Amino acid sequence: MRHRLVLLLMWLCGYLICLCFLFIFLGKGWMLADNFKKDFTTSTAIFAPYLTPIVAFWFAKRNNPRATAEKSEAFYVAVIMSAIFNLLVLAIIGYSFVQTGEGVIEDNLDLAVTVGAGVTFLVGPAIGYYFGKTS
Amino acid sequence: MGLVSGSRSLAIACVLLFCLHPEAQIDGKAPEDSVFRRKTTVPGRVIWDKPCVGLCAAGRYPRFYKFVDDDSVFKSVGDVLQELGFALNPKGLKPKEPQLTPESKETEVRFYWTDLIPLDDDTLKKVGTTRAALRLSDDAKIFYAIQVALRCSAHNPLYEAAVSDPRVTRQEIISQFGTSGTRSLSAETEVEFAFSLLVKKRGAKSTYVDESSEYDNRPILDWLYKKIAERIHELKPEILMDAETGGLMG
Repeated sequence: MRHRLVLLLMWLCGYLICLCFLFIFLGKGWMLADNFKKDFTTSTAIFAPYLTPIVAFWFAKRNNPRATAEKSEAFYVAVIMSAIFNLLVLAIIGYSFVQTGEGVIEDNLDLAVTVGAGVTFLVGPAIGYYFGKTS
Repeated sequence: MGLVSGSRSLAIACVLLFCLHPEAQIDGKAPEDSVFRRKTTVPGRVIWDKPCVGLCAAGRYPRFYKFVDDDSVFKSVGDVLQELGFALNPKGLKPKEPQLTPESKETEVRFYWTDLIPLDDDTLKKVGTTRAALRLSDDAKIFYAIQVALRCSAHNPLYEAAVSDPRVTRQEIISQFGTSGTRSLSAETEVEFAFSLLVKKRGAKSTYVDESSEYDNRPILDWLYKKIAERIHELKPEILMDAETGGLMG
């Protein structure tokens, strides 16, 4: 129960920090309202494939809640992979704070989409295995 | 009490009148026809027979026509745009301007479009205008860029008539202007322009996605038209046509 909550909060925080970045960009005038609409969709597309099943599993009925050694190992792997994914994506988008020039935000978002898709093979199975074991 | 009620009614009436006033409704909206049209001519002339010596009962007749080639006009327009720093007809940036795109493949019509030029201080200075004059925001955090689309058509009624039927055309000139050969008869090419200006905006670190609809296109397009007109007015007639046969010379 607590493990699932940790994963859920980790992904939710990642997504919310990403949205905060966008609001800061908007507030500072680094992007206009029309850019925000497009960039919000892109940001959501980065996190949605992971956040959707995590939220869905959070509401799903659990079987044996006792933590086994195997489940615990799966949890740590899932947490580590999730941390790597979130840090990578947020670092790439956050790099817009120090960069200057036209299209920096959109370029970094595109890069985050590419990198996010590139590390799917690490994150997807780790999360899938963990929730498969605990459901 | 009655005075207060009367004042309130008067205030409401004033507000209603202001809201219904046509100028109040127009304020802040882009003009309905955003296409900027201009027409000019480039020189061409009729060359008459040499003055005859002695008795000239037959008079003088049109001998040659001198015209400016349409392609020279189109080339000049392209040259001016490039000299002003615009990339000409970049692939993938062709604007969707149904009012400017020729439907048929007319040879005397050309469609030009430029790349997206940042409307920075240097560009504004070059054009001799300001953001305020263009009705754009003075907010330094908003960056603007412009793209120009231009349709140019060249048309010479005398050339077209002479190509179609040289004898009839020559006869018409004679019947209209006589055979004295003293009156200067123009063979100008009429050039029509239809300009359209697209203005896009972005934030300091984002891409151009938002198309601005509220701006005044005249300062930029009028400047551009004058630059093009100056150049095409310098063109010299190069096509020499025999008035009798309609054949092109040299």
